[in-house]
Amino acid sequence: MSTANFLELLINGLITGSIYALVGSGIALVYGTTRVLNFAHGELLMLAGYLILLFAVTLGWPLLVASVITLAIIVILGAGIQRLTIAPLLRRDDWAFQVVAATIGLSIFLQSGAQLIWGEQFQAVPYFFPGIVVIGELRMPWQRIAICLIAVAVMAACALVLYRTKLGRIIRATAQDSEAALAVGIPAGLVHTAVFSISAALAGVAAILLSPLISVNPWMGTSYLLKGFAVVILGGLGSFGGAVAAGFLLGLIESFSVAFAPSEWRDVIAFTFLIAVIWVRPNGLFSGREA
Amino acid sequence: MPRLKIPGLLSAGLLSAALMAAATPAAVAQDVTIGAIGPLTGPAANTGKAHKEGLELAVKEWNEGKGDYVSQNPPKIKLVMEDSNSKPEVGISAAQRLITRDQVKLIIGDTLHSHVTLALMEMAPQYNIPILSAEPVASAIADKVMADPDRFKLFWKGGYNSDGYGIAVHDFYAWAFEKGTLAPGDKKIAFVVEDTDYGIANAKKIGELFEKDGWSVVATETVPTVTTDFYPQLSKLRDADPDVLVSVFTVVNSGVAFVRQLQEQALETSHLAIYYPTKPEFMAQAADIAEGMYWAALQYAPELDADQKAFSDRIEAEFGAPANYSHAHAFCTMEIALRAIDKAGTEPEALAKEIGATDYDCLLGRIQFAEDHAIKAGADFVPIPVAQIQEGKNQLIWPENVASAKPK
Repeated sequence: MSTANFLELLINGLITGSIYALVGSGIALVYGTTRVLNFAHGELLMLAGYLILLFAVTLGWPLLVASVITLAIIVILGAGIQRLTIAPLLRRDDWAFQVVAATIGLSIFLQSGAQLIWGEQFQAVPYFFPGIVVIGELRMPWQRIAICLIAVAVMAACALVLYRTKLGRIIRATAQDSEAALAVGIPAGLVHTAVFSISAALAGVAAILLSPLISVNPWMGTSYLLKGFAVVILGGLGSFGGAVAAGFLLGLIESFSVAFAPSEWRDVIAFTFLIAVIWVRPNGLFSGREA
Repeated sequence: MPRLKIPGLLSAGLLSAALMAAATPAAVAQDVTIGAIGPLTGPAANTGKAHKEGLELAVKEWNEGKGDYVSQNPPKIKLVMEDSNSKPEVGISAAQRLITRDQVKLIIGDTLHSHVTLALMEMAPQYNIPILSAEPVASAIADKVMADPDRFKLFWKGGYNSDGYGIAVHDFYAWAFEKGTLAPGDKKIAFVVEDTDYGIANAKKIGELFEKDGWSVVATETVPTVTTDFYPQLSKLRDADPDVLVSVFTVVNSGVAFVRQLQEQALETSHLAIYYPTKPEFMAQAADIAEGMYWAALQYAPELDADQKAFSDRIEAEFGAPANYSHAHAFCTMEIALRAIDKAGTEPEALAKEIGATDYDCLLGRIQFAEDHAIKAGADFVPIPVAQIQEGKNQLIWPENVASAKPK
């Protein structure tokens, strides 16, 4: 393998991994704080894809404005879903299965709704960052580089909030013991809603970055949801940092596996690694219940 | 013995008349329900919707008296289409519903997927019902028929075999090398195809034909449907350095992503695409970045064919958007079914036999079935031409007798 080829695979792995990390960390954040596995997380990504298509392409708004509005709507939507769908169920004793069923139902509803509203056509979004970087034999579009850089910046900001701010301490306290947090005056219900909103925002960022690469369609969230769950399990259920690290790891495994085996083995190799990790460390690489 | 009164005689007479009338040919025709199965949800729903519209137009025109009738009194047709969601198990459930709930006399399915058809065709002997697939091409379907012709006597394949694509791609390149349009280089060919019977069968057949000419297959990368990140595959291909690269996808955004990333990576290879450029949205999204790309098979080109243009206008008038290849293929498949029902009725064996005897010029060419129950491909039947995107437009470049432009 040439150096250029190795570097290409490395960069591709980091780019793919950054999206997995964005999606996975959103799922992990919600699970770590509320113990809810949100099966509709992929559909939040899909809806953000349609919103950025609407604002940035159809209406032609500047990318920054379109992105901010998209994220604002997705954050509100995430909060709305938590308040209207999840929160009422969490008050019940047997909420665990009901929440899974509700989020799966919501996922199907949103996917079918999107097909009904926007149709089954794949909608193209042009590159937000045109141009290609050429260094020797290495060729990489700015769009892909931007994905990695922005994703890393967003996750770093998230980590900063989570581990260095009062809000972060409140979230982590609620994650450790929501009843104890409630006893000391932390409004656990509001924290849960805030966490859902942050999680939705992470899905929104992923959608904005991805939409030029994959075309917006009603099913775009499904495959990323699966990878997101894999990342959450690999990183350790509920661990934000674990999900980020696992996302990059999964991306790199996928990228390099193609170099050494036919493409159809990519998922087999990735999931074999996942099973092997669970075998050795049943709680994932970075286990521990935390936000 | 009681005597018949006049009202009794009248009633008897009316009853007899009704019975006699029912026995006349004019009253034989009854409504016939045809079932169809295709992907109406999921990433292939775009194609499934086009199939549905093509089937519906054929039925509508037939019921309005515009059909190519054989009998004096053709039956009215009702169409019920069910979703396969691109999954064999969903397709099987759909077929069971159509047979038991809707009492359909024939099933058109799957309209797109070979892997769904491979499962669905088993329903023909199980339920004694004729089944006619539409677009699927995998040769495995025909191979299954040939392995047990009696078992699959009720099944017919409305698409040609993947051999057809394979032969067309191979013969096109042989012609291009001979003409000096392209150089064979080190005679290395590579494939990036979707992980379905369709994608794999095409790669296998093309690879075999090239290998017979002394070529080597340096990579066959199969990816899940709806894959959009091909950078790892392209990095690998850069090392393999193929002279010819063939890509096969049924989901158009895979094709758009592949072509875009191929251009970004500036791989020096002759690229030929199969299927996805038939979709108008591919041209809308990727015509500029796909400049110079070869593809098979441009069988539907309303800008070049007056009949196809007229068909496209009819679809647009009915459904609000112009037709694509999938509309045309579904329309022709339904025409095969309608003509056979009209001629043979709905008794399963007679109907299946009549489908097999089809000899009909439809929008895409002359339709005849071969011994393996697949329609025949080739210049005299359904041609599989190769096109090239030149200055943002499709041009037929091979075979020479149908070409609208020379290759560049």
